[in-house]
Amino acid sequence: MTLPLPPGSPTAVDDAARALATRAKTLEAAADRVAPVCGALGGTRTAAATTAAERLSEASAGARGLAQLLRAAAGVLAAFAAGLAGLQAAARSAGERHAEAAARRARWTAEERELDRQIRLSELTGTAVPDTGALTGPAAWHVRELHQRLTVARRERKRAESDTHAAATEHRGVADRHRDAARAAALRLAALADTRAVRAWALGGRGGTAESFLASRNAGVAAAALFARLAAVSPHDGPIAGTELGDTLQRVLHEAGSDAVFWSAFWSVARPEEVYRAAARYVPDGARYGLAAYQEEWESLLGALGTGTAAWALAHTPAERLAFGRRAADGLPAAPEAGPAVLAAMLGAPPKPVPQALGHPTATPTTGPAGAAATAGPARAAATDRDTVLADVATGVLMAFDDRLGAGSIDPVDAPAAAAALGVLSRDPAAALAYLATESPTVLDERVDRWLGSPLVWPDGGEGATAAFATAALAGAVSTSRAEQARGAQLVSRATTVLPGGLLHGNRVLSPAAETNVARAYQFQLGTAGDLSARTEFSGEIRPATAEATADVDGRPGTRPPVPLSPGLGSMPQPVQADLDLFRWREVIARTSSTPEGAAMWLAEAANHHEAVLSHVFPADGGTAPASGITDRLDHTAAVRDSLRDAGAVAGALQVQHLRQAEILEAQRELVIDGVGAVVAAPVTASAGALAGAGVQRVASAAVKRLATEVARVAADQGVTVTGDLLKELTNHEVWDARQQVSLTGDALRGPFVDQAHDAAVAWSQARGATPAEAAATWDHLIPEHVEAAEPFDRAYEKAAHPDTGVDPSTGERLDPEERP
Amino acid sequence: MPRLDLDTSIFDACATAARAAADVVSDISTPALASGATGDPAVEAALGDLGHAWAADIALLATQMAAVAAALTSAGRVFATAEGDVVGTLTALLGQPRGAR
Repeated sequence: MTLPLPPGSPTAVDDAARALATRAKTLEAAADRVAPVCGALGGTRTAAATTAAERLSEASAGARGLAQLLRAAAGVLAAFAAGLAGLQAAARSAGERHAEAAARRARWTAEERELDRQIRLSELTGTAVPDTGALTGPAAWHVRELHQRLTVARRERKRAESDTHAAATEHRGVADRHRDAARAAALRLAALADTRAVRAWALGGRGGTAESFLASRNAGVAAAALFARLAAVSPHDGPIAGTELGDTLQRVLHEAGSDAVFWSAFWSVARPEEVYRAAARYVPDGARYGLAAYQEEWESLLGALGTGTAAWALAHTPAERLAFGRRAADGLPAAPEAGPAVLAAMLGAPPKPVPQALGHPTATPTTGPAGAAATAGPARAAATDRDTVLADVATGVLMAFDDRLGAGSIDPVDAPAAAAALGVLSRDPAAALAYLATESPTVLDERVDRWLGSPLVWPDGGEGATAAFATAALAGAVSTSRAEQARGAQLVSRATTVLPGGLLHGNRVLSPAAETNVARAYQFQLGTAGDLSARTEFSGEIRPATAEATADVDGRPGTRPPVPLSPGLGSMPQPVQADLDLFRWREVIARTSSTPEGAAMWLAEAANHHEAVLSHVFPADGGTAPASGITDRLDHTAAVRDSLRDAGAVAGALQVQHLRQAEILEAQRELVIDGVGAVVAAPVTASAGALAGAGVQRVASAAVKRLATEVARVAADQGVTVTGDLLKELTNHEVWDARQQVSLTGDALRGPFVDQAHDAAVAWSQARGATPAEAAATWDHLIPEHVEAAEPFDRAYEKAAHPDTGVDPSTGERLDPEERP
Repeated sequence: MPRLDLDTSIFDACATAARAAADVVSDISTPALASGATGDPAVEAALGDLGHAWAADIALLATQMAAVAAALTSAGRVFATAEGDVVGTLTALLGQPRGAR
């Protein structure tokens, strides 16, 4: 019997492995050769080049991923082939030894039988001793010899049997090892069929062996199973943190770190809702949001998930990232207790709201024109790879909310996740523009209404939503594509319409960073601020804009052509403009300047715009800007006045809340006076003491007592009869004081803007050959005290600051900025 | 439309590389092993699953590489012949912008 060899052809398998390795090398070489073109295209700033670079990059990444797969598969096959060859050799050797031993056994068995037969024959034919029956003579010698040979034959037969058995055992061992090797190879190949994990391995750029890939993948799958187990734990069993299970979870996640293969395998198995539920079981309610006992474990858990999500995202395609974001958001309703916080952490938000940690560029605005150099807006920050990939995930999250909510608003429970997603979006200008200023005008309005037009109290103080708004608006404005400019302009326009009744509803106070974000969004719209003054009657009524000024650009609502430097002049280079509801814009400015940072940012933006206009009107080389339409000193002055009007309107809008507050204080006082009418409405000529003793004691408010007592004292001094109206007239002073203060502030703000214009004009004249004296004489009207310069700023300032600006012409009543359009 | 300041040799090299890659993709779409070569049904099945799992990616890569080859060849030709719109050619051949999501 011949023992069989393990089946298969090591040579064929090895040839296949070599072929795969060769193909992998070719693919990598192809990817290497495409890389320079990707780099060259990526260095340009056109949408077309960006698109081409992305396509090439995708193809290159695909080639590298496939090459890595092929190399890994080749490795598995080569190892299997080598093992198979060795096993076949071992099996062959065992078989040969088995055959030889079997032949030997057969030979000695036959020998044994023959000797046995000869012994029996000799015993029958030999001469025997009569008494004993024992053979004598030669026969006896012969039989003795036969027995000796029989003993040898038996021993050799048994040895042969043992050898046969040993060879058979070895052969069976070879078969077992072959089976194990085949099973291991099959498992490795099956793991390589996990396309996402392999692509994560390749795109993650971590290299490593196929063995390390398999170990990471298996660990990820096991961790997902662990989360599923935790999700099934009853909340009544107490927190998992600190238990053996909890410690195992922390250790596994700690070891995983940013291993893309681990996280790819993890998320290919784990369901987001299970992860959210497991996190909720990890610590009890309350501890999750800040109680000290489990805070460290909670933050560690969320930090690990955040690290893992970033690693996962870096190793997956944009489409997969979008789908992942959708899946993550879709799992929230099944685990509302911890889901939003976990998802926010997965997107990189810290467990506690720490706005700076979200990566929003923190403004350090300078105040006034003199320090108007820098507005480091969100769109100016270069997005890193991590920002870009997480922005895709965030976009998926927000799109899932869009689908789920329809025309509804975000549930406050989900707000942490949405805020984090918007914050992440703000770090990638292209993604922010693509989502928030999307191509469909209808969808754009819907998204703006949802994220900026909802009167939701955001857990991050509105920083995420406003940062995304600013980033998208600026990305559109700085784009070389007119269509993208128009999308950005429509975004700003719609946001201006809905912000007062939404994010800025009521007396809501945004965080300083959120206020500065909103101010940045209007960076390229300052040229229309002065229209608020130009289109406002002294009665406060706002006249409609001209048809030319409101003409949509490319048919996109809420956009308008570039703003001229002044009526009759050309425009400076600027993007498509937002067609703003000026009254609501004034509200936006007023309500996002409650903090010093917000107010300073608005002034900085106004100053930046003013400086840009001056640079255009008065080129440093003494020339004249092409297509500006400027021909003489009057044109220069008109352009400067227009810019001062813009600055004055912004500066004035910053004051309106101050005056409103004064109005409110006075109104409150009048209400109080009306409420204590029994005390003060009756003719009172008595002394203050009598007044106090008569009725004021019935009034609980000490402030009102003081008020009434003071009024009575004044009335007694002047010998007048105190009526309610007189009392109000005598005591109301807040509005007057506020107006005085606003006026003084206006004077202070006007100076730097006018001085800046004067300096630019004088420098320009000198560059054209004028002497300092001649230049100064030419522009002597551009000084803060001259009506030519003061009037446009002051008028715009006063109209913007006055609470009565914004009267509905049809009803004569103040427009309600919080009313939804 | 801005033009690229690229060395034409990059286009030539990439066109060659892309064509080679497309050939490889086509090549790897065919079975690497004859049936029974591994001698184990589990390994055979795993290899089959592997090919099945990656079929879509391989097909996509083949398409991408074909597009890359065509685009680079055309762009290289345009670039080499005149002050052509290289970027526009690439974009037209490679598809729509990502922002259309």
